[in-house]
This record gives sequence, structure tokens and C-alpha cells, in this order.
Amino acid sequence: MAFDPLEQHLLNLTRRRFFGKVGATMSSALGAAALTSMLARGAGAAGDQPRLMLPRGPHFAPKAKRVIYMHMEGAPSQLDLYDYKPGLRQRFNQDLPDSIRQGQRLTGMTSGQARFPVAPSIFRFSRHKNNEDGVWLSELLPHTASVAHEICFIHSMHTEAINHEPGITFFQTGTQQPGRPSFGSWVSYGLGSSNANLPDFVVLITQGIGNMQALSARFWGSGFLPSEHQGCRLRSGGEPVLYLKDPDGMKREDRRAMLDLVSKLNETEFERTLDPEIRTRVAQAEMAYRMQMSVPELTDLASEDQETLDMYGPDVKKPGSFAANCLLARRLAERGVRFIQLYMRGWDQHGNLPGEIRAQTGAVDQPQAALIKDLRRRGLLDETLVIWAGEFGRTVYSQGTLTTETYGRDHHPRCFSMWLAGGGIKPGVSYGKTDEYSYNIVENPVDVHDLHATLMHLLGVKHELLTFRHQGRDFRLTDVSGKLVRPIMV
Amino acid sequence: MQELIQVFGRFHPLVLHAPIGMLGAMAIIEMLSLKRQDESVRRVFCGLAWLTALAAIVAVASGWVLEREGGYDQVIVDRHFNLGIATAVLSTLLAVSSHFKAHASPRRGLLVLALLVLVPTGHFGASMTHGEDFLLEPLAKKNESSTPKVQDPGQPALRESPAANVSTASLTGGAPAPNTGASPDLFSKEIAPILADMCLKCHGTSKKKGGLALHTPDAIRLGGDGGDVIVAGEPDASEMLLRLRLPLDDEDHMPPEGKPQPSGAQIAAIEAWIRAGAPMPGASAATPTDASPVVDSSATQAAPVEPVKPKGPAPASAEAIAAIRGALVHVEPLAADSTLLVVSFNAIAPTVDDALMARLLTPIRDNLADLSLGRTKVTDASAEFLAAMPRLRRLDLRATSITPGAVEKLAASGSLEELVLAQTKLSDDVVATIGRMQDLTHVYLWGAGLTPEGIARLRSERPELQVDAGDRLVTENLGPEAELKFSSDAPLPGVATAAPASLEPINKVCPVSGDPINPKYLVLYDGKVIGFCCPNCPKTFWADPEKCLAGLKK
Repeated sequence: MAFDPLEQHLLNLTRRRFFGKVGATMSSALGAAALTSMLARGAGAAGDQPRLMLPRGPHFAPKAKRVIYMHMEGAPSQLDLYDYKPGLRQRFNQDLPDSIRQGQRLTGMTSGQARFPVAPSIFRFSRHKNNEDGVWLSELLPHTASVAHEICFIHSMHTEAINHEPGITFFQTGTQQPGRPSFGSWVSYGLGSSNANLPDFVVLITQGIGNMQALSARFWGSGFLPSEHQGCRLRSGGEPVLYLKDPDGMKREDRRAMLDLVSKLNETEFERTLDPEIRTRVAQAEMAYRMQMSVPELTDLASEDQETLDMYGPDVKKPGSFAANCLLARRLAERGVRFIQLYMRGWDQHGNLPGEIRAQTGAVDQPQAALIKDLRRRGLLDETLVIWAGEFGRTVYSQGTLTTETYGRDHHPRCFSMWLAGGGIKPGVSYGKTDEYSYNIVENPVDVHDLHATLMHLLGVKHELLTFRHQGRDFRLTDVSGKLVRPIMV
Repeated sequence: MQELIQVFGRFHPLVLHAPIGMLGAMAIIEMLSLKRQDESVRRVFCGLAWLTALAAIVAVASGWVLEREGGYDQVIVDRHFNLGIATAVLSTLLAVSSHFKAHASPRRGLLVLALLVLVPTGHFGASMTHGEDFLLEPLAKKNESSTPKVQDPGQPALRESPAANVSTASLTGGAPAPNTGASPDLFSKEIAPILADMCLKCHGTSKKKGGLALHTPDAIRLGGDGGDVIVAGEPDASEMLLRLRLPLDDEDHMPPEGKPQPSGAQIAAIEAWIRAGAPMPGASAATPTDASPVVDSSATQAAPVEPVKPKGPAPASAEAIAAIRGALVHVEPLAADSTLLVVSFNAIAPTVDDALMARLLTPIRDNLADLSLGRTKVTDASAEFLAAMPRLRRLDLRATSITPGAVEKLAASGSLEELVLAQTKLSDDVVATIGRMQDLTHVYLWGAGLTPEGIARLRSERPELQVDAGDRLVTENLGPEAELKFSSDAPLPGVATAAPASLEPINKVCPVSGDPINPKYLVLYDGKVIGFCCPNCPKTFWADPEKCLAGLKK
């Protein structure tokens, strides 16, 4: 039993079932008698067979053991970073043809614009060697370009959402409506921990430079999965985890004794109410106890040599910077944490895009490239899946005034670029094509469900089989969709 | 004592009939006394009521004991039990109320209520012993033939066996992959117990529902009235698996709703077994002389359908796994249907030494496929132990204090494909050793003390070997695009263009603003290249080109 916490959990009665049974007895007086009888028998006697297809762990041998997911919150412009459209330079300030726009819905921010002038990127692209005939990348990403041979660029992502909140929710949970478990929670639930001293799912946030949209904790929430699978955010300033340190004068043995007593009390309560969240709470308290030792060790950079620190760039010692978080992500990866979620905020460049994107890429370019290199040379990249994506793309037409010095771009869900590297991903390739305006996909579209299915597959999980029964039906990350994108897999 | 209690429990099927009969009798008495009240009759009723209450309580108690033996569907047991308690409580209240001769209505109400509760109580009880569909089965099955198939007398029946330990089944090899040792043993060890627990009550010697029996390999091969139940090698064409996978409330789902259901791991085991060709010991129908007991794991006959490689290791013991987990070391199966294991010491790396590692891993050494010892304190002393692991495919010794001596010993391994030696204190001495490791496909040597010459030598000696030495992290820049030029003079509708004589602009100042031109913004008009100061001026220009050009000439 103890080997399989998931099955154990499913065997436990949920509250809903518990009260349902009480309600089914003849009357409340008899219910009380029945209650006693049920409680006397305890949790092990629950009758529902778990509908779990396979036990916790991969369904088949995985290519990747863990994930580092860099979410670029606010949606970076594919046109200024990855999707090279030299032809647009000759269409500066022309109106976007209706044949391209096809009456597509726009956000309220630009739907009232009199015209939609084409804004070519003002950044120069250069070609970088990869395993195909090279890949064009913007001058904004010189460091990322230097690891282009490790990266698989997808230019044909598309999503259904046109605004940040549903867009991020879709990417993080597989549906636009809030309330479902996040990707990381599904991975934690499906594969379990591979480091008993750290959470399965860690979240690191970097504040960006520009327009920042709300970043709610539910993006890394566990939804209806047991809450032990939710992301654990490591704070950037001060203590990485609040209230983790023992108060002055408290010895570690005292803490141990307290935890033992509390968990005994909790166990009594669990036997009374059979609420699985009680077990979660006990597990979390034990995890926190172990994290008192493991987190300081994790965040102490004394063991990093100067060459490594320099590689991540000048901000590496600045807590919360993208550089610091990338280094921390590598340290988490080498400690076996399953899912490391990084957020970089501030990509929502509706106006003054050139200025803001320069600042944003300045903050992420060197660290993210350093992360790839550092994982590579330590032998970790081949078993770590690295994801870099925003929640949608940005329009080819300018929002607001267009000049050759500045322009803005509105939200664009119909096509955008992202990249993957490491664990089971074909290195140095590009996948999917957009039209000459980077407005519509012309080849190999990939939707969010397809991406999730593919990533799950690389982790050794059949996305159709990793389900959780909730409100009377089996839920999964990919809902009823998700096709594997085989051409990008090794 | 335990046994006596158990016997008491088994009296439940006897005792339970007493309250049923007596409640019925009381109902008759009550009806007869509707017309005429008689004190002696009332006293009989009173005595009967107390006897009923006592019998009901005894029935509940014995039922509770019986239920603890297990084997019943928990949902139905719970319903039956709760209703049984209700019956006992109502009977007791009825007995009390029978003493109040002046008030007949509480008594009558309780009697009616008790009888009403009795019906579902009895129904759920009977569902457990006879099956849920017992009552209406003749109606439902009216059109189906139920001729039982003849059983091969040479085949001993399956023994009922305890359920496999499902929760550890995957780790300890509950469902071996087809290529890791599927054999008739698989059937005896994995499949037969599942069939015995889940199927034989209805598809065995005593009952053959649907003409199907599953108690011997031959009976399984024979199938039921609907044809074959398994198609070797094709799980998705096998009726048995299809039925198992149907939703629980589907009419064709097996085992029927209300009966104990196999776990996901057990279904997966059956699937793996069928995919492996459904090997079973004993004869096929053609050679009945080879009959042998199917549960006998010493059966040595070859699999009848597909030859399988006897390669996979025996599953690791659950105790060994528990010990590893107890030390906060991560262990997981390589895949759900594999007995191979992945072990990582990441969580406690700085405290791991040779002794601890050897103590935890010795019992599972045959199962290890992937081992991470990065950042631990293991030394050369462990190299021999690691090299002797027969199935170790990937070994991570990153940032440990191993020396070239350890690599020398590791070279003896016949299974290593990936070796992570980054951040170690090796030297060029290991180049020859690694060169000798023929199975190796990938080696990581960043910061391992090798010189660039050593790395180069290794690469030239073993060109097919991937050598990650941290020296090829940066890719080549193939050059930038041409200088950026923005324009909007791609042929606009209705504007004729001619080839320009020269690409040099004819003007020095912008015809719209009068500012100096920027060579980025050029427009082609009437065979001439015209420069502008900014990308917006061409818009104005196109509105009336001739007027602008006239202005330029002035």
C-alpha cells in the first residue's frame, strides 16, 4: 500500500462519497448507527475500485525525466524574435490585406483602428547553423542563437484564447476556464516525486520590464488533484519559502517531536472523517521539515564556480532575476525535481515594442542560453525537457503609431513561435510554417493540446491514460484532444 | 477463539431467516387482530417481537463478522449492513411498542416500516450470494443458449489463490513486458490468480455462464458461446479484454457490476499477457497428452503461440524497494510493464557513500537500468560493483571523486551505453579505456580533467561515440541578412513600375519634408529611385507623385 500513494489515495473515501452514503440510509437516526459501523471499518474497506489504468510512474520508458518550462507571460512577438519574414520590409506601412486577415476577431484594443499597417520587425536577423539548413534568429537573441543547434523551433503554434488570463490558463492547464490542474500538477500526480526532499513542482517568477498582466497562483494550482501536487513557489527575495525556518531557540528535535504529535492527532482525525486532504497536510508538514535542510542547500550558490556564474550573466546573483532563476532551475534539475516552472513577466508589448522587447530579451537571452549549455555539459539536457513559450503571438500590424523606430503589436492567437530542447526533442530543427505575414499557419499546425500530448509522451506518459475522476467523469490534461507531434521527436 | 468467532459469522445465512419469518408471522397476527383484540394473542405478539429483535441483532452481529472475511462487493455489503442495522433497530422499537396495548398505531407503523426495510435488505443480501442479476436473469437470458461446454477431464482446475499484491505489482514486475520474460510462468503467476479471483465463480467448474469456462488453459482456448475470448497477440481483438475495459455500467462489462473488479494493474497484466501471445502451459487442443496443472510454476512447456526471449530479470523484492525508499532514495520502474528500475540518489547525494549505496542496491542489482550517483561520495571502491550490474544502461557519476582506476573497472561492464563522467578528476589515461567500451554510445566528459588533445583522440578513435565535453556548446553564426531597407513600394495596385537605370536615388532631400534622405527608404517611380527621410513620407508621395516631384525640381 505504502508504495503507491496514488492508489492509496483513491482507495480512501472522499467526503462526497462519505456523505452520499450517510444520506442513503433510512433516516438520520439510523444514519448515525450506520456511521459508526462505517467508521469502525476504516479507510481500507472502501469499495470503489480505483479506475486508474496504471500505477504511478511512467507508462513506458521516458525520454525525459523532468521539465523546465519557461513561460513568457504576456506573449512575446514571434515577428521580432523567431519568425523571419524579410518580405515584410517591402510592405512597411501597407495595409494588411483582407485576404490575410479573413475577418479574424481582434481584441478591443485594436478592433477600432482605422487601418492595420504592416509593421516589419526593425531587428536584423542572422542565420545560425543547425541540423537543417540553418535557422534565422533575431539580433535580440545572440546567446540563444548560439545554442540553435540544440533547439527545435515550432513556428506553427496556435491557441483559442485571445487574452492573457485564458491564454495562460489554456497553456498551463489544458483548458481556458480556470479550475483544472496545471501541467506541472499532472506530471507530479502521474510520475510522483523523484527527490523526496524537495517538492515535485517548483515555481520561480521573474518580474519583467514592461506591461505586466496578473499572474495568479492558480496557474500552478492542482485543481481537483490532491493539493500536494500544486506548484511550490520559491520566493525571490528574503526567505525562498516563508516560515520554513524554525523560530529562534527551537531545536530541530523539538520540531520533530511536535510534528510526530501533530501527525498522530491528524491521523485520528483522518480515521474519523476520511478526508484525503488531512493526509496531504501531514505529507506537506513532513516535506516542509525536510525542506528546512534541502532548500538552504539548494539556494546556496557557494559551490558554483565563477565561470558558471559568468555564463548566466551579470544578474545571476540578483535574487529573482531570470539569470538567478535559470541557475536555480539547473540546480533543481540536477536534484531531480520533476517540474520546474519559470515565469518571465512583461512581454505584453502593445506599444513601444522595440524598446521593451530589447529590455526583455536582454534579461532572458543570456541566462536561457546558459541554461541549455550548462545542462548539456553536465549530461542533464538529454533527460531534461526545456520549454520556452508565451501564451499566444503578436500581430503583424501595428497597434498605434507606426514608425521605423517604434510600433506596438496586439494579441495574435492564430500563429506564434515557441521552442523546445533536450529530452527526446529533435535538436536543431524547425517545424511548421506561417504565411508571409506571420498571420496564418500554412504548414503543420500545432495546438496546445498537441503540445501537451507530445510533452507527456516524452515523459513516458500516455496522455489518454493519465486521468482523474472528478464530478463523475474522468478528466485528463488534454481533455478529448491531443495528437502527438512525432516529427519533432527523436 | 478467532475460529469460533468465524464460525459464529458463518451462522449468518441461517440466523437471518429467523427475523424474516417472525416479522411475517407478526404481520399475520396483526392483521387477524384488526377485528378482534385478544390478550393472549397480544402476548404472543409481544414475545415474538422480542425474539425478532434478538434474532435481528444476532443476524447483524454475525453478518458483521462474516463480512470481515472479505470477498464481497463493498458497496453492496455496506448497503446490506446499513439496512440490516435499520431492521434490527426497527425490530427493537417494535418490541418496545408492543407493550403499549392502548396505542396500536406506532406498533403497526413500525411493523410496516420493518417489513418495507426488510425487502431491500434481503435483496442486497441475496445479491451477494447469488449475484446481482440472479433474480431477473431468466428473463434477460431467455434468448441465449446456455449449453455448457464439455470440460477436458485431463486438466486440473485452477486453485483459488489470494489476489496479487496490486500496488507493488508494477515495481516488482506485476506485468512483465513481452520481451522481458513472458512465458507460461507468466500465466501461472500473474494471470491464473486473477482469473481465479475474478472469473471462476461464474466461469468455472460449477457455473459456465455464456458457455465459457476459464479454469484450464484448454477451456480458455475453447472460448464461450460467442466464440474465442482471447486472440493471442491481439489484445484489442480479444473479447476478454474488451469486456474488461467496457464502462462498469455497460451491460456487457465483465465482471458484472457489483462483483469484485480487477484493478487497472491486473487488466494491464492481462493485456501484456495477451500481447505476448497469451502463452499458457499445457497442451493445446491438438495434443491433449501434454496436460499439466496450470498453477504449477515449474511447468516447462514452451509457449504455444510465440517464442519469447527468456531475458527479463526477476522482479525486485518489495522489501528491497521499501528499504531504498525509506532512505529517501528515488526508485521507479523504467516503464509500467518492466521489471527494470531507475534509481537516483539526488535527494541525499552528499551523504551517500560506498557502503550505503552497496547496501541499498545489492538486492536490486539485476534490475538496475539507470543509476544516478551524481554529487555523491562514492569512490573507486564501488566501480567493480557497478560494472557487475548486468543490465545497467546509464550510469551518472557526475561530480564524484572517481579516478581513472574506476573507469578501468567500469570498462568491464557489458551493458553500459551512457556514462556521465563530467566534473570528475580523470585524466587522458581514460581515453584508451573508454575507447575499448564497445557498447558505449554517449559519454560526458566536461570538466573531467581530460585535455583537448585527449578528447580529440577519443573522437578520432571512436567516431560514432557521442562525446560531450563541453567544448561544442556554441553553434556557428552563418551571417546576418542584408542591411535593412523599409519601403512600401512593392507594386501597389494601379501603379506602373519600370526597371530603374540605377539604384542611386535621384534626390538628396526628401520630396515631402525637405529633410535629408535616409537610404533605407527608397521608392521606385517611373524608372527612377526616389529617396525619403522616413517611411511615412512615401505615403504622401504616392497620393500625388507628380506634384511632389515637381516640388523636388524646384
